[in-house]
Order: sequence, then C-alpha cells, then structure tokens
Amino acid sequence: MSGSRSEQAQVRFEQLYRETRIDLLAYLVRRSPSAEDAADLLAETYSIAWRRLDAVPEGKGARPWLFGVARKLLLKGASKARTRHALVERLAAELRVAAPIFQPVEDERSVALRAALASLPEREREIVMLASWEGLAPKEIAVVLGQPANLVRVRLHRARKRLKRALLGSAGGTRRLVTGSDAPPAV
Amino acid sequence: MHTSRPTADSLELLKECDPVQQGALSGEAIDHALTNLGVALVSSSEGPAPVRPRRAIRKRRGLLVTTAVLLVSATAAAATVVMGAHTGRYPTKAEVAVGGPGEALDPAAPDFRAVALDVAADIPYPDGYGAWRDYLIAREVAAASDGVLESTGALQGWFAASGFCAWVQVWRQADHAGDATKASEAAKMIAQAPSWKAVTDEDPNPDPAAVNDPGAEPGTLFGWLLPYRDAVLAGDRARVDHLLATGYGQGKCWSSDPRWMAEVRAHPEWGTLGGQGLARKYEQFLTSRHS
Repeated sequence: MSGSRSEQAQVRFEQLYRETRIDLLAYLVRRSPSAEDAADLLAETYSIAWRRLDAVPEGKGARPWLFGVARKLLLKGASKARTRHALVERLAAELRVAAPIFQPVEDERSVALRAALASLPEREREIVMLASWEGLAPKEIAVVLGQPANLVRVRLHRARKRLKRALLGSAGGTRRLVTGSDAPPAV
Repeated sequence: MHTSRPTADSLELLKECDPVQQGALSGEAIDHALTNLGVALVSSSEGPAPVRPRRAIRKRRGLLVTTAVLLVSATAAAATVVMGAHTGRYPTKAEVAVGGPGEALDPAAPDFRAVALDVAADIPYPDGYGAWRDYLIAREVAAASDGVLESTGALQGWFAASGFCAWVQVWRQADHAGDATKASEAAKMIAQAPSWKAVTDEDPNPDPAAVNDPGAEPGTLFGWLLPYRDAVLAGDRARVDHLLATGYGQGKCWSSDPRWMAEVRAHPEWGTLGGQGLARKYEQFLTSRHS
C-alpha cells in the first residue's frame, strides 16, 4: 500500500472483498455471456469500489451497492472493449475449468421452473432473480435497481403470484412444485 | 449463498434452476485467483478518491444492453419481430443513466430506418448533408446484435452530434470560401446546438471541463460542443480544424463523416498509423475538400 492510502481503507476494502466476492462473482457469472466477461466485470466492479470506497455504504448496505455497480456495468456492456489484466484472465480460466456451472439442468422440473421464470415481465424477472438467486431482500434490491423499496415489494409480490400461476399452468407433472405458502387453495 | 426463508415458496423453488450450482465457485483454484486479483486491485489501481458531488458522465450512451440472463424468452423474441423497432419498453431509472431516456428501439428491426428518421426529425441538418444522417442510421443498424436495444434519447443524441458536426463542416467551408451569409447561418446553428432538446435531454449543462473518474477525459456528455462553438464564434478556423483533426470530443466529428470513413475503410494500412498519424490524414482530407 502506498503512503497516500490509509491502512484503514485497505483493511476495509479487503474485508468487503473477502465477504462479497463469491456472491458478486456468482451474480456476474449468471448474467455475463462468458467467463471472461464475468471476471472482467468483477474486477471492474471492485476497482470502482476501491476508488470510491468513501461512497460505499458501511455494513450491510455495501453488498447491494456492489450489485448495483455490477448491474450498471452489465447494462453498459462495459467489458467489451477493455484490455484484460493477466489476473483477470487467470480468474476467467479458472471459471472455464468450472464449466458445468454454465450448463443449465435439463430435467423436467428445472425446465418448467425456467419457463415460469421466462414468462415473467422483464422487470419482475430481474427482481425475482435478485431475490431468489442472490438472496437479496426487497430493500436491497431497491438499492441495486435504483427504485423505491415499496415499488420493488409490489413487483416482487406480483411476480410471485405470476410465478405461481405459471407453474400451475405448466405441464401436469409440475403441479407438485407448488408447495408451502404458494400452494393453491383447495378446490 | 442464499438467504433461507421460513417456507418453501416460488422463490425457493426457483433456486433449483439457478444456473450457478451452489459451491461451484468456492473451489480452491477460483479462491486463489480471486485473492490474487484482490491484491492486485489494491496495489496497482488508484486508491480511494474523495466523493465528488458531480455525477460521473457516461462514456457510451448509445446502447441499452439487455441483461443476458441465460434465459431467453422465445415469446419476447417473437414479440420483437412483430412489433418492429418500437419495443414499447422504457428503461428503468438506472438504465436511463447509462443508456439514455426514451423508448428502447431495436436497431435490428426492418423498420428501424423509418423510425430513426422520425426520431431525427427535430435535428436540423444542413442542406446536402442527408448522407450523414443516413450513414449514422446504417452504422447503428450494422452494430445491431441480439439483445441490444437503443433508446430514442441516445439515438437523438447521436443525431445531434452528427448534425452539429455537419454544421461545423458547413461553417469552415463557407468561411474558407468567403461566403459570409452561409458562414453566419452555420454559426447560428452551432451556437444553438448546446440548447437543442436532444442535447439537454441527456446533458442539461454541457461542460467541457467537468471532472470525471480518474483517468477519464474531462467533460460532460456534450461538453465537447462548446470549444467548437467558441472557436466558430471567434472566427478561428485554424482552431476548428485542429479540433476536427484531433478527433476532439466524445462526438469525434470525423466518425460522423461518411466520406472520411469511406477513405479509412479504403486504406486498411492506416490502421498502423496511430492517433496522430490518422489525425494528419484527416487534416489532409479536410484540406482536399476545400479544393
């Protein structure tokens, strides 16, 4: 660390990086067209976090902030024209070795679930994915998307209802997927 | 990785179709690569900068890239074909910040040219420069690819940059030819350009000196218009030519000029010239257009 950067800042960044890097990598892997893009965007996201550490919220607010930055970079297609760092290439190479993570499961149940997810309007689908796959709470999703938390809650509620309907409307064998709080009322 | 919930619901079920299997990213090799990357980030990049009140400008405003979610809705794709360039989709607040305002258009749709011409209707191009507008549309169509949409605001911004550059060409040629009337008309348009709606929709206060992220060129999205405008209003053609030749500004006027771009395509060997060499070529090209 150079003399111009405080040790406190470095410790904070390293902790942030350690605690969030796998979750953020998973998020980017899910949404990037390639391992290279995912690795590249991860590096860019944390590079921004490091440069703007003062703007990163303390505590639990840091995680959705990072997802929000990563999402903006994804929307910008920010990795397309960048010269990649050797260590980014290394991470991409390791991701390629773990190739099965990019292969969707093709059993009937998974196909039905993916079809139900794909049937959602795009705005709701993104919220659902952030809630289910990234484990984000509505308040955190609101930070990621830059939307009011109430709006996110409403959309998430609608999305869950739509999902239920979509799952019920899929092939007969998938009816059993609807369980627990989403189970349809007895007829 | 996921927050557990008290009851199994649709969100819990969806975890089963998560394309990233749990534990797949927690291997030792990936962890090692991540650790090395983190160390490199801290040691090689610039450290924390003070929070700036001014929002960093976006460098590329043209494209709204729809997120690749590994789940492509066939119905959505079909709807695009039926609906043509108008998708009926409007960007979220976050998307506006990177992709511009307005409806997302599909440059790959067969009616995109007609829609784009409609979008461009408010941008005043000088007589004889319709080819510049056509070139821009063709460029956007050529750049179209699956899942890439372009907001009407971004498209209008491109037209504003292209139209502005066309007026700059008209001014410098009229000034060179001693045509005061034409030069005055062009100067008037150039002076008004920073206030065009297409400009202010994306950049309410164009400023060529605005501070951006470390390493990024200064200036707001349309801040580059002002040095051209000031040079034109000062009657400083040498300054205008210098700005043009160096490709100054995010608009890079030379990229709007179809004749110059045709020259570049006709000389693939220029690819080795570098920025300064290409600037000299463009300077020669500009000079040749006076003759």
